[in-house]
Formats: sequence, C-alpha cells, structure tokens
Amino acid sequence: MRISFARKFMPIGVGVAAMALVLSACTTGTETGGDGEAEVGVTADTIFLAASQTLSGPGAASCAPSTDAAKLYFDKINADGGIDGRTIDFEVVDDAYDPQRALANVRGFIDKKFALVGACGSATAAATYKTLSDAGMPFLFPTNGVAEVVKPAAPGVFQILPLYEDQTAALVRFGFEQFGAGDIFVVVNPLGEYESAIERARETAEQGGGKFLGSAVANLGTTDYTPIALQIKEAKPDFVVMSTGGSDSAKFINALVDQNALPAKGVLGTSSSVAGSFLNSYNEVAGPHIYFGSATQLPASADNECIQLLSGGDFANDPIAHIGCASAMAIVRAIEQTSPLTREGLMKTIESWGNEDVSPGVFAPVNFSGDDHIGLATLYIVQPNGPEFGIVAECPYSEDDSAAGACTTLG
Amino acid sequence: MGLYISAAISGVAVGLLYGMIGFAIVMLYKSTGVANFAQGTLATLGAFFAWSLVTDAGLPLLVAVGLALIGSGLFGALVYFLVVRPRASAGNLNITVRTLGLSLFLLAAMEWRWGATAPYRYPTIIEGEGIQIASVVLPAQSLLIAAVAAVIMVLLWALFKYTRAGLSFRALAEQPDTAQLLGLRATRLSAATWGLSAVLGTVVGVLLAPSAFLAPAMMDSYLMFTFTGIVLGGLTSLPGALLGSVIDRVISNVTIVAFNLDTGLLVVFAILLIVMLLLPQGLVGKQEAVGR
Repeated sequence: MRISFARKFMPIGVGVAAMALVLSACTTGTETGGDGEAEVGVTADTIFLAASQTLSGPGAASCAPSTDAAKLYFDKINADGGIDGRTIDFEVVDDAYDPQRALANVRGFIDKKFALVGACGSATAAATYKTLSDAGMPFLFPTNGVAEVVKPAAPGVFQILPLYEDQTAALVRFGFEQFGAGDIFVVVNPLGEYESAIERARETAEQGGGKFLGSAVANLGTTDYTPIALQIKEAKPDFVVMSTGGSDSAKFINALVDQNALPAKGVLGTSSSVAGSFLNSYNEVAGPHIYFGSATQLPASADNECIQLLSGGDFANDPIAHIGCASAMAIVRAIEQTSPLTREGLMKTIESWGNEDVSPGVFAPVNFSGDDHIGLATLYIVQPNGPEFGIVAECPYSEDDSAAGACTTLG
Repeated sequence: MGLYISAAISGVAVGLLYGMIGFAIVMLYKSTGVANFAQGTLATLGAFFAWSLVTDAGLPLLVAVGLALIGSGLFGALVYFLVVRPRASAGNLNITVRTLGLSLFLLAAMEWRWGATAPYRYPTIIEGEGIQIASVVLPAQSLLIAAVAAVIMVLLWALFKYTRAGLSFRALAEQPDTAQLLGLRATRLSAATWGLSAVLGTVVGVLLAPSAFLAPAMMDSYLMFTFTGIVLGGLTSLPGALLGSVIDRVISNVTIVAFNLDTGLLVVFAILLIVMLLLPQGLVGKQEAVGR
C-alpha cells in the first residue's frame, strides 16, 4: 500500500508545528524585566498579572468584587501612564472555588504571567500555593485562612489578612474581655482548614475560663441553617463563634433570629463574614449582638484612593472590594519599589516591608520578613449597622495567645 | 427529644417548600414527559422580575408579583415555542438536555444583568411573629408557604383528575400520537403547560427569595434535594412530590441535629437508593409509569 506524501510527512509537520507552538508559548510575555534582566510576564511595555477567582457557584457573590475592584485600580494605574511606562495586563479566570480547577488555572499562568494576584479563598490557595512557590512565581495577598499556606513562610507566598484560627482566638479573647468569660459554640463553613479555627476557639475559651459546648460544620451554600440554630438554642451558649461565608453568615444569623436563638453575650465572626453579601441580606435585629473580625478599617477612610475609586459604584461599601483594591495598591507599590523588576526582587521588596502603609485608611501598616509572610498584626472588631460596618474595637492578635495584648475599645 | 421534634417540625416546613418546586417539575413531567432542569432558573427569573418591578418601577410587592406571574406564564409559553417545539421529534431526552442548556443560558443572562451585587434582600409577602411548636419557631413566611403548597396541590390534583384540560395534558404525555389523532391541540396544550410550570416556578421563587436571598444561582442548592424528594415520592405523583420532599427534609434535619450535616446528606441519599431499589416507582408513584 502506497502512503501519500502528505500523510507520510504529516506527523513530522504536526510535530514541528507543536514544537513551534510550545516554544512560542514559553517565550510569550518573557522579554525584559528592565535593565536587561529577562523575566517571565514582563515586557518592555506590559506587566502580566493574573488571578484565579471564584466567579461562579455559591461563593461568587462574596468573592468576585475583590478582583473586580483590583481591576479597577490597575485600570486607573494604566490610565495614569502605568508603572515606569509599563501597563498592567490583568487576567481573571473562574475556578468556581474548585481547588483542582484553580490548580489547572495556575499551572497555565506560571510561564506567562509575572505574578498571581490572590483572590478568594482558602481552599484554592491551599491547593495552589506550593506549585506557585516551587515555580518561583509570586502569589500576592490571597484571602486565605489556611495556616499551611503561610506557616512556615513559603517562598513567594504573601498574605495580608490574618488566619481564621488566629482570628477565632482573638475574637474569643475580645468577647471574654468585653462581656466576661462564657461558654462557646462554634459554627464554620469548610473554608479550607477549618478544624484549626474550631480548635483555637476552644483552647482560647478554656484558657479564659469558658467552656466549649460544641461545633457544627455546614457546607458553603447551605440552604437551611434552622437545624443548627435549634442545636444552639438547646445548648444555650454565651457566645457563638462563626467562620462562614458572607451569604451563609446572613442565613445563619437570620435563622438564629427566627428561632430566638441569639446567644446571651454575642456572635463573634471571622472576617469571612465581613462582606457586602452579608450586609445585603442580614436581619438587622441581630446587629447589636454581632462582633466580626475585620482586616480592614470600616468605614474606610474617604481619602484612600481605592475608596474614592469605588465610591458611587456597585461595591462602594463592600469590604471584600476594599480588600481587593487595597491589595492591588500594595502590589503596585511593591512593583514600583523593585528594580530591576524580577520575581525574586519583588519577593525581597515585600520581605523588607516594616510598618509599610500600603493602603492607608483601609489596611493598618503591614510588616513582613523572611520568616513571616502574614502582613497584619491587628484585627479590627466591627459591628454591622444598617448597610455598613463600623469599628468598635481593635485587637492585636498572635498565633501565641499569651503574646497577644488586650483589645482597645474604640467609639 | 424536644430538639428532635423541633428539627422534624422544621423539616416539614422546609419540605413543603421543596415540594412546591417539585410540583412544577412533576406537573411538566406528567404533561410532557420532560424533566425540566431549567425549573430553578425559571423560578429565579420570575423572582427577579417581580423584584425589579418593586425596586425599579416602585410597584407594590403584590402588584409586582401579580405582573411577574403573568409575565412568567407568557415567558414559559415562549420557551416552549423557541426551545422545545422546534424538532420536537428528537425525543424527550433531547428536550431534557435542551432544558439544561436553557438553564445555563438563563443563569448567564441573570449573572450579566443582576449578578454583580447579588445577593439581594427580598421583601416578604407577609410579616409577623409566626408560631412556636415545641421549641421551633415557624416564621410567618413558612406558614404562608405551607398554605400556598396546600392550595396549589389541591388545584393541580383537581386539574389533572377532574378537568378536561388536565386529562388532555395526561393523554398528550402518555400517548402523544393517539392524543393528536383524537383531535387534541398538542401545541396549545404544551405551551399552556410550560406557561403554567413557569408560573409555579415564580410562586416558588417569590416565596423562597426572602430566606435564600435573591441571586442568579439561588435555586442551585435547592434543586438537588428537590429531585431527591420527587424521585423518593414518585416522579409522576403530585402528592408524592410533597411527601417525598417532606420525608427527605425531616430525615435530614433530625440526622443533622443528632450527628452532623454530612451524616444528614449520607442518610438521605442512602434512603433514596434503598427506595429506588425496592420501590422503583417511588413511595406513591404508579407502577406503570416506570419502564416506559
């Protein structure tokens, strides 16, 4: 049987074409980091950034505003001429809060983008940080609550926000300081490594003279929190400690109100509840009973560039949007301070930050070092009041409870 | 024991809501033989329509809901003409897959229009303290849902059992060729069924949104349990949809308070599997409906 010329050489042709595609992909976006240094995702006129974000599914409403707001800030920087003549190209792709999908997204970015902009949330950050760190790609400021992502500090992985486990401990200390010791019941969504958040709350309560009455784990997007509210009504805790997503927090709080099951002393929640999706839908009757930890000042300063940028828009009062935009400000500052612009140089810049005011009026000043990749050491305690949150106290926090100081009540 | 009784009572209230979503799916299935996967997004779209009339046009809620019911009925008929009727000979499986596509399309459209700042707080049709049974409080909205579910079930049951239109729906679903030979107007009947199904969806959406919060994907979490409930009760039975959903939620709630949420899911799906093995037609479905 005679094989035609085309069929005979087609495999070779396909192979050559594939090789050419691979080579071109490898070189895309890899030109110069300035001063003649070659760097992935940086060309003479563009810096390529990307994010893998929860744009669909139950977490989308809470998460999407963070990258939308970051994009607004990058667009503003571009409109103002960019950073040293380079504009920012920011690509956001959906992972639907699916760790495997996030990992696939991230693998596609490693050879094309300069850095990954952190987004929601803990489970996806936990699935991707090691791949990014091993590849030497900076992973900047994810909204993450999982300890293993940043403890011990993984090269290139930096986050501004406190871990949920540190937050639950700080919140219990705040509650006990403010209202006296009491019994706690913990409710969490499995946002990454949730067991440690429950455990730290339990330890802190028992050390403070309180009792741990139990815990409940509910999937993100749970339709009916009434059974958990009934458990709490039966247990009669003094405090409910919660670490749940924005919409889920509102459903849970509303179920507590419906069942007359609000705890005697207060509901203490981590920053995962501090979202516009909560403000849009919580029962305001519960407002005076609620104390949430927040990484950002609320209300944020009107002088902050991000707040001005967001004002009048859809996300003006959404703390998640504030975090996204303020994190973008921090990224721009780090890039501005790094010359030549290389991934390694960027990491060194961030590790050198001491009391760096990256987004005044939104974040407290941040501190990083070679072995500490969590920026904030302050947790604001906020309370919802109608359509916005307001700060009621400020708590230093630490992974070592004995080292953490007392909270300061504000206003 | 008081906790379990309260959880069971709460399960009945929530089960009625799931049962109402099931009504719309079962009604369409009985009438057309199609399992409509777009039922959830049609319900959400109807709720968004009513909400827009309240927030954008400033209409009173009840007026807005009334207009939304009319609008969704027309939209349901339009869906039939644009999505279901063309090449209907492709078969029910093909049409069922089309409804999945329609669901994704409507979801994307709602995300585009309303997704950015969702979820939204939704007004309740009635306010009030509700009533306390054992230690569980049934909010006024739950009582309304129970009443509406009862009324709808009776109306649909009467429609299918006693009216010429209902019998025509059933004839068309079970023997479409014969029904048409006998002079039944298939196009008109099918369009009416899709319209009625969309109206039922809007009723559910409007009742559910105050507790679930209005968002494009609001119904996603509910649909899986709805299908569980109607399969448990019997896919062709309206009372079965209600009974299956109530049983599903009662078992789930009691298991959650006894153990945890994961165990609740495990037990519900284990029971579903056992029922399907032992009673393929469901708890109250008809034997002849299986195996077609």
